[in-house]
Amino acid sequence: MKGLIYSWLITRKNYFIIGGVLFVFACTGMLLVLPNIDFSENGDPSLTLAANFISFLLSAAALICSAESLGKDLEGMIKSRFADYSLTAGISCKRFTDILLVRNLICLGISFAEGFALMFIYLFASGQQVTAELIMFVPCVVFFIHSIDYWVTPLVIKIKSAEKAGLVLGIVMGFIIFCIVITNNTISSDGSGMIVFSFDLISEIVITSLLAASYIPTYFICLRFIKGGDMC
Amino acid sequence: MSENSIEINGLSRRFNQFALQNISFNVPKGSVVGFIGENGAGKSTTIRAVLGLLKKDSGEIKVLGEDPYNMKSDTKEKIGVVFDSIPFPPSLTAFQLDKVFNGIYKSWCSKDYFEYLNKFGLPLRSKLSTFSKGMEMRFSIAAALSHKPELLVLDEPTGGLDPVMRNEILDLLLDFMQDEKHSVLMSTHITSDLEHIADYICFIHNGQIVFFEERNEMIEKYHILKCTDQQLDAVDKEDIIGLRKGKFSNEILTACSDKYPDITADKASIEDIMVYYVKEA
Repeated sequence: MKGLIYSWLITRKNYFIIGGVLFVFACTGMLLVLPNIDFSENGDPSLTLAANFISFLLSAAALICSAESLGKDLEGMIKSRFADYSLTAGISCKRFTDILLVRNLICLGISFAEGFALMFIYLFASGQQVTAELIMFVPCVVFFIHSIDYWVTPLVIKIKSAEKAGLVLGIVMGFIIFCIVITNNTISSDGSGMIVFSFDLISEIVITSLLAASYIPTYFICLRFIKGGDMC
Repeated sequence: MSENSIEINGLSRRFNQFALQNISFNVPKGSVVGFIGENGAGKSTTIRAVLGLLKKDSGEIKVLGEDPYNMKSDTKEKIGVVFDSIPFPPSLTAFQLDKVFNGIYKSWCSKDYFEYLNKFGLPLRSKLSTFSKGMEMRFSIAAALSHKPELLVLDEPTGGLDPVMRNEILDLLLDFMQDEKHSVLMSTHITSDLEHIADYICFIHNGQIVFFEERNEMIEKYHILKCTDQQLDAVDKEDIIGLRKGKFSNEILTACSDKYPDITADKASIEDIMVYYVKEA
């Protein structure tokens, strides 16, 4: 297992570097810009909205860089037959499936650290109140990003293409999210320009738990597909 | 303990437009089996089944005494694999791959690995993406030999290589075979590579085994008869494996040349045998 994890870390070190740079950029930007913006009712709503939007965008970019290309890595392993080589070299199907999960969990851990750091810096810089909903928002978003990345894995094994797998999943997920947001008015803006997420703490806990639990069937689907042979 | 490194019995697997049908042959311990066939005959598919990478519909396979689909990792380490293209991440260097292999194989020997790389003139710090085809193949063989395998399985290792490089690789395999416990299964459609190295030849065509014979016996057995139309009429149809009709003379591949002492007979090469069998099929 060590060998494959090491090769994965080496081949995607650029993504870690880019993610790290974006993270530092986001933190620095928030610390420099946000204290100068009035987030109260008297503040300029467009400025508030812009500051929130850019903070959100940079944070999402930093987190997504931690997740990006796990599917592409697997596609590379399949197309180069490194997956076949590993399976003939003494790595069992179960161990190979574990390695795919471990990769995702490593990225999940990094995103958790970045996500909480970004959230606390945002709250500190903007002077906003720390609430349980905002804190719970981090694991919710992190699990959302990384569970989607993990759900792509069995599709990549079947379709042999990360882009096609991502497209299939993206269409399905986009439709589901669109329905939820529109029917429940989940995201809105109040008069001050703040982006308001209408999730309560219970909803966030439920969503996070469901996303975390989705790892279990995904793992067994991956294992089944790998044991089915014909990976490469 | 079996006398064979690989035993295949009745292996079958159906795809949409192709099928492996009732494949049966063995790779005896201490021997080199050349697995030949034209492109698309089923060589790589059979090898993938032998390595446990492909589910079979029916049949039995034993590699080093175990089922490849449920093989212990210790046994897998005794099998060295060389695919027709380099199966490693192209952005890694040979030096980095040493650490990768160390984390994969318990029996990995970095000393042997670096010695092979040095002997093959391969750079340590260049990315694999910069390697030529010959370098890639030498690297694959270095990696396959560095965890002390008992069995080497090579899938078209000499395809796309120049004659000098092919000869070098065949010499490496001969060195590997100095130890009589070692065995090699090598698939190729370049039959001339097997003239000097193979102990047995297994010929597959359209997903079926046509023959499995000892190379020396094969060369003594098969002949090409060069005959006129009159002489051709006198040849028993049952004795004709393959026929090539020409304007002035005809060529017949047969295993019964001694029945026709009056007809000029040349020894058939492995390539001749393959071509005549395929044409006849």
